[in-house]
Amino acid sequence: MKKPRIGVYVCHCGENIAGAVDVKKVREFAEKLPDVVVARDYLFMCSDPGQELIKKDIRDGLVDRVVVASCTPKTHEPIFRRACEAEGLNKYYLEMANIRDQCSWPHWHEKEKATEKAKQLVASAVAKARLLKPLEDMFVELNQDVLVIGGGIAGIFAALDIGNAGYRVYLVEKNPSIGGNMAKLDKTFPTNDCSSCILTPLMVDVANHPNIELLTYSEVESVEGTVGKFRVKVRKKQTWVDWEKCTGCGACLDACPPKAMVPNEFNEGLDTRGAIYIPFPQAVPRKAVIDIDACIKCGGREFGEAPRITRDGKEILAPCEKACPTGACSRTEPKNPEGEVVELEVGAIIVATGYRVMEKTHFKELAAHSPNVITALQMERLISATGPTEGKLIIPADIPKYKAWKKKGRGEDIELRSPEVITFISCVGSRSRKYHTYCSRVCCMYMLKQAMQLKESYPDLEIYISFIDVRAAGKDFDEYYMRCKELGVKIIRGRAGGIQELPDGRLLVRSYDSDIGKPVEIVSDLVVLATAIEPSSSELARKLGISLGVEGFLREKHTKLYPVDTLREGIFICGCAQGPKDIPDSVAQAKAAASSAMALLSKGKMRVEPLIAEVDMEKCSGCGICAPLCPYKAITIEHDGKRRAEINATLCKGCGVCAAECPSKAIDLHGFTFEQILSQIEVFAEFEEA
Amino acid sequence: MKYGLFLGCNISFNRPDVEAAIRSVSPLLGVELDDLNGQSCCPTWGTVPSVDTIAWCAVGARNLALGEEKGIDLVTACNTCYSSLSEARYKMLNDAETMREVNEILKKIGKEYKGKSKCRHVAWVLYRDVGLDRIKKAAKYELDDIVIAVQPGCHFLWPSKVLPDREEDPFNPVVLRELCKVLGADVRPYTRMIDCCGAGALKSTNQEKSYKLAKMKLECIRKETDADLIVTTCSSCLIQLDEAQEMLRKRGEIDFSIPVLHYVQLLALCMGFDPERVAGICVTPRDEIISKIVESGRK
Repeated sequence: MKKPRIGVYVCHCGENIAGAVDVKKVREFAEKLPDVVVARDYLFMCSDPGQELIKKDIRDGLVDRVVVASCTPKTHEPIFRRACEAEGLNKYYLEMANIRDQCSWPHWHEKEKATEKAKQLVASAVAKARLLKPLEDMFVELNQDVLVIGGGIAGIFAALDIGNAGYRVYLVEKNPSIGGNMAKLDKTFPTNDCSSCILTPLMVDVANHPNIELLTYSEVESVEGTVGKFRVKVRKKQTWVDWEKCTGCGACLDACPPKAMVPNEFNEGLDTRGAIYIPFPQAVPRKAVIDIDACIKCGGREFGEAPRITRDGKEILAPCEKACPTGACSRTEPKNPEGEVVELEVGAIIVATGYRVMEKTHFKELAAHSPNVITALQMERLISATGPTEGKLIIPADIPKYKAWKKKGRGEDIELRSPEVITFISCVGSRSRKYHTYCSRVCCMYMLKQAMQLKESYPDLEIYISFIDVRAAGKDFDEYYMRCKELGVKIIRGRAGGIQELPDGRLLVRSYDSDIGKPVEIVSDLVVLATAIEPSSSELARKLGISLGVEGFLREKHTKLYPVDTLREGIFICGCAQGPKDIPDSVAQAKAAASSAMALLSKGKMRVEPLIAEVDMEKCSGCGICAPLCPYKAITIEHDGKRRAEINATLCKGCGVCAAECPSKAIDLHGFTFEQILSQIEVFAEFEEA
Repeated sequence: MKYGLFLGCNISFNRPDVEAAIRSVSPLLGVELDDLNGQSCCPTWGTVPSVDTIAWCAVGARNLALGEEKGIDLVTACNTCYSSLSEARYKMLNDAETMREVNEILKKIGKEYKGKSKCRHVAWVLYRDVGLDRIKKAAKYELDDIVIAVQPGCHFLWPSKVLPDREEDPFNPVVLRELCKVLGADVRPYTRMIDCCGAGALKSTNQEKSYKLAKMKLECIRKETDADLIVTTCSSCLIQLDEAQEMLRKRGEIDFSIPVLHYVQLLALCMGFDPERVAGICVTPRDEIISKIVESGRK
């Protein structure tokens, strides 16, 4: 065999490597390594002139193996592989030594040792390079359908963009309607446009889109397979109402008896709903469901039982059945409580599962027991025309009174207390060591928005906002803050430490105003807590095999460069599932995720690196140890009718677990063969001896 | 129900009428008290606990061991004793090294603390062990038309994790209110219920600030509840609200007078014990409220 001719290229990475490693010494050391014909160093090896150094040496026939001593292969290997390929050299004749992340950075203050370590890393890469073999890329067919999980504003935009581009989309939403948290908002900053006015048309678009299949009241049960071919099981929960027949007329809404009333999620618990309900007036799809946990099964009749008959031969129907004009709500028909499992195959998945708002119950020091202490999302409902009071501003303690009066047909006048003083408290659960250290990012702005909205409608209202500091960094945000101050909203710099209830139900808010250096106390009729934005359940991330950050939000592949990618190829994230953000940012990220998914799928096939495991059928004894160890279920123990391990090349991810475990050494991992790895270890052993 | 009566210095030397009240009511409520011979200072806040954790825990452990030897828990009517002993115990139970060092010291006097016995607060013993029903039955007088504002006191509530009995919501405590309600009183909440009375460390370091806190609290009680009586579970709060109130009146800073009683004193009065014996020591006059209880409150 011809002797390999290796070129070693040592990068300074500006000061990143050269600041700790003596690059010249490393280069001189590399020159003397076996089979190395040339060694060079350069300021930025990844730059055009840097790559040209490599290309020229290949072009001149000087080298046929390339070792780059620089940074991480995760970001830079593709660049140098392309450089080799451009000059006609098989791109798998490249090996990288990471002398930045694994050497100069961690050993910044031990320069001599860093240089020694860099030499070892280079020597080990050269040893491997001597044994490199040419490999060819493979291509696999992709399924071009996309699954979007979560039907809030982020999921809606991702689905629409992909659907509009002509790909098929499955949009899975766990609630009976899409719309997410945005549907609960009254108005939205910084333009104060009505949330449902801008959201509802999009929801309708999704429902009518020929390329989008909407699966509401459904949850992802399991995800198998890999990019290009994910096999997903989705459970459509039992709605207990026949959606084929339900017209969304709403006749059933008031049918439930008082005993079956439960807190209304859409109004954030400020009022109640029956067991049979339509989530909100603009729901898409506008269909009723029965909350089976709340249902009291009127007349003791289970689903699937025929109604009892009166003496004069009439059926005794449940109130909801009686109210339903189309027969959609029928208890006679048996229903499977488990719902139905739908199996999908998709090429990519976008996760847009949103957030939940931290509940006030954690904050006992802020008088959480008082009905007049509410969360900001509750405040949105209180001022919304579709809220519990149709937008009439009263103290929450009086909502039941209002509801009763409404039920009676708004007869005689009632006395309802409107707040005169409202205090907002920021960073409740955010930026706190006790709860969440992160900033929830939207609270400053929505508090200003709510204050502005209130002040515009009720100029006499006295409004205080207790901030740690005002974070209004977005486009047009600080102008918004100024407008708010001009309207007479009073800003207290200092977080409120405690709230106590006065005998008449009003609230004594005690904070410290750092501007005047004194404690301040405000007697308020209503207090709004800007509670933290929290990640939704981690269960889905586990099913998808994607990772979570310490705070529980989905973790992106790279904060700056791959903000919507995950470590699992083909799975993208966007919206508040990735971290707290406002609507503009959620939408921008959703569109980014959609475009990334489409970039992946548009060619219909995908390049697969050949760095995967292969079985030597001569050596394999068919013991079967490898198959259950494979995390990608890529190994079957059958080959040509014989008991032998066979690895599915499209499923194998090249992790090497099977190769390491095989007792007969019958499995080798291309690009990381036993020979290659042992040669690297031997180099380190030589250093150790010396 | 047997407990070691841990009196503490405040009650022993300043308010022995509280001791008389506890000793009077206990037998009728089925509570047996052991004198816990040899007990010392708990030790109180602002003394040893501020400078030497091991010494604090050792003194506390010695007191707790007096009960442990007899297989009983301690009971106290003083929030300071309650919290100092509870926090010392918490430290020992949660740090094996502290426990070891403490027992090394105790060994020199032939004692050992295993961490079993704890110090209970008399209010919790009454609420949980005796029970509201039994208290109601034992009372001879009912507090009809009497408005009470309660003062649970900081160390009755915080830090809740070290305490053997905990309010469900320490920011909105209910135990003392329930205990007063069962005697028939109209117990009214007020905003500064969980504020400090001003005793604590402030009293010895900055008397004016200490008075300021007491004044804030008293004025709030006056304004928001118009109470006839303040009831507390703590001997320090009792002394502070009673004595500081008198001082504020003398200086003309307040123009009202609200008598202050420890809960066990109120209970003893309702159970018909001699007021002179169980509630005889005070500077803010109590005669009027006591006669109201005794004369007009007969069941």
